[in-house]
Amino acid sequence: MAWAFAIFATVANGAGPVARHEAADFLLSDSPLPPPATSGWQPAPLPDDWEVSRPGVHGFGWYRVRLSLAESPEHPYAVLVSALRTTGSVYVNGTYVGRSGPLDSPERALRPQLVAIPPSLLREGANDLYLRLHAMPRWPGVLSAIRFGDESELRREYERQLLWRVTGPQMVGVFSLALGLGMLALGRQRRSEPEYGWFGTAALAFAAFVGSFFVRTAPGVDVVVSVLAETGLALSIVALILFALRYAGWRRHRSEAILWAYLAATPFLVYLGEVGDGTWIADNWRSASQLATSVPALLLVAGAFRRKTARDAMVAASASAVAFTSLVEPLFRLPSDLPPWSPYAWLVMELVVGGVLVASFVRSLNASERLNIELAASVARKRAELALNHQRVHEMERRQAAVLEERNRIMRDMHDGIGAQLVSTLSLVQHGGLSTGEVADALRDCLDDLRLTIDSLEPAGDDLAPVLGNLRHRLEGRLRRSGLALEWNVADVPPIAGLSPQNVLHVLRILQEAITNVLKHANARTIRVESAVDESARRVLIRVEDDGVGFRPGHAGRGLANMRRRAQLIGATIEIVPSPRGTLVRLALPID
Amino acid sequence: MTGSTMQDVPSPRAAPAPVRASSAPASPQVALPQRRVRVMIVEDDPAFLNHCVRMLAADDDFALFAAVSDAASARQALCRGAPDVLLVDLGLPDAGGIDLVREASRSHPHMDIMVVTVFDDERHVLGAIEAGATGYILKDSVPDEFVALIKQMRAGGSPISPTIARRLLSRFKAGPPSDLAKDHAVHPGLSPREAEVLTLIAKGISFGEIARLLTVSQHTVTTHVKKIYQKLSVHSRGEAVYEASRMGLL
Repeated sequence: MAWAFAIFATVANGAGPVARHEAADFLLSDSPLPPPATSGWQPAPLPDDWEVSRPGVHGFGWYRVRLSLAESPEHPYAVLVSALRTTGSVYVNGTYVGRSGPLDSPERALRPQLVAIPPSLLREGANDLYLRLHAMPRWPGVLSAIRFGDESELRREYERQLLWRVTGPQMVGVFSLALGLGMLALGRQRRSEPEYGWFGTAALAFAAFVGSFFVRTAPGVDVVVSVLAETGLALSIVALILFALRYAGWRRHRSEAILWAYLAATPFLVYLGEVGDGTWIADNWRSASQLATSVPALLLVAGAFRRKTARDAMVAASASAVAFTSLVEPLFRLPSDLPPWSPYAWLVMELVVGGVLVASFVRSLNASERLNIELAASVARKRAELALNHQRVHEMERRQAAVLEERNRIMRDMHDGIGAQLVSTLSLVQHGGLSTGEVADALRDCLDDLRLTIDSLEPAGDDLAPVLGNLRHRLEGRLRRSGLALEWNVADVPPIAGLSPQNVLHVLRILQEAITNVLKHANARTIRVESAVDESARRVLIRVEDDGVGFRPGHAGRGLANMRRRAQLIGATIEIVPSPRGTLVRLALPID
Repeated sequence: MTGSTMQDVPSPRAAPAPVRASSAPASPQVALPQRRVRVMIVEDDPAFLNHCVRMLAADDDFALFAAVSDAASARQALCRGAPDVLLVDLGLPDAGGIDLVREASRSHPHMDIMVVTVFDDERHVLGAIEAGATGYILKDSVPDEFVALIKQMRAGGSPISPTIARRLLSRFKAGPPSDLAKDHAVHPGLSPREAEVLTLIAKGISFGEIARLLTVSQHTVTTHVKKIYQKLSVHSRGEAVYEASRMGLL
């Protein structure tokens, strides 16, 4: 019956050059050669997982598949299995064809195996294909469906399976390693954001877990590898959970101790499971890990619902894919033709989360750069403000100094002018030398002097004529009262640069002193005031001339000294020419 | 009309003194009005008030209308009658002098108002002119100058100094807004002759010399000054704030 079933299966599947056999006969036997047909073969469906079909059994087992060929083939044929553990030897029609799989150092990964069959061994009609499987202790036997057919076609399929089952996950492992290191480096820069560090740890742990599948060790050491691998997986899950917590914004909490307890317990329980102690927890610890992958996914999904950003949704979706593959894969059991999904789910998650985290890192870099620029601009602005303030303060100080100087000037002038006048009037009055009318005149002179001081406060521009005109206006009364005739010949004078109020006052005082001297001492009848420009056209000359008695050259009073002093102050020259027929005072002002 | 006290007197404190050409005794240049000129004095210093009253009493051409020492009494007196000349001390307390000038010039437009002041600088004199005064007298004038100036005023002239002339020139230079000054030259508001007179006064040239230069009578020169003062006062009254700010007074 089994035979018939097997043949039927063969015929049903073996239409083209490649036949896929999902059933075979099985015999547990240590025989080194294919056992005869009478040995008691039992039918066994493929894929066959010894952990399920005959738990605890290890040793040698034979599989037999009946092939039917239309004609003797000319090209080489081959046998392809997607998964085989641990070693398989292939016999065709009683002849040994080849072996697959490592002999003594098993690999945790389930590789596809391809064994080529020389066409001379195959005959037209019925052929027997035997496969002797060696299941080592602690390595339950596994055999997937057997594919038989044209070698070149099967080779293509083999390459494809190799890529998806072996090379792909290896690449994912390498990528995880690189990503993990990169994330840890970023995490070092962003200590306030632990999600970088945790995701990096998860990726590194997963890389270690994946890498463990392709490690070949001596038989004793493989327990250590298993323990490390499962611990790595547990670490990756714990790290992923912590990543999810931090990413969603949850701070450290006491309850996280559970995770560390889980991680600490894993090596012990895995060891117990490996050495076959048989405790229920140890045997099912792997399942616990698989359930645990749903935790980060749930956390991230909850976070996505809370924050409602596309970014969070992508992260949550990719973590959910990982959780999904972890939970669902065991249901399909290992030896199927389907490649393992979880490495690829992890790859997707790593790409998504890696991208999100790197983008966030770049954003914060940019933000800090922008902040620096703004800061620099703000500092520059403040500095400019400060400079402006300093300038303003300077300006104010300068103005205050100018005002102070002006006030001092006025005070000095009042002291020199009206002050002196009043003092001399007072002394005259006290000595009783003046009549009432003369006192009144003296006081009037004081008022005139005060008015002269006030007049000189107004800026004169650079025109001297109005200044002289005003002087005449102020002194005329006095001149008339003393019977002095005034000849006024002041013409238009050219503009004089730098005629500040100080300089105007000095000119006025010089001329006033000259005229007053005439009034007081000269005993003159006429006084002439003239203005002119000298030949070089660089100086303005003002002459005060009288026809009085003159004065002796040596008799220089304080008034004359004052006149010379003032002339020097304004950069003018003064010449006093006495003669018996009168006195000439000549003041020369430089035009520039 | 030979040389007299008024010829070479741009100053409001002219004293009777012989001029170069002749030594004629002091006599007013102009014809006297038929009746006495009624003068009202507002002066808070009693000594100076007495001084003014005595000066006026000494001259037959004047009659004292009233002599009061504060602005309130002045207003009352002005309500009862109208003097020909109002003398106001600019130094009345609380700027009472300027206010009184303003009110009086509005209520009695044909009255001559003269302010009595210690200083004849821009702030005092031109402020008074704008308020409506037609002239100013320095407080320390001798009696002859004092009455002579009032008579000159009645005759149509006004006192001025070189400084004030210069200030007036710069004031009128600022000018009214463009839409009014279309056909005015450098000194909108002043006629060319008036600008010329002011320029000569600013140089210190006496009235007599100006009259000779422009071949007019001295009386004409002082009349020009009075007209210029009126223009300043009109400006200030008519378009008060705006004009004043335009002319740089504010």
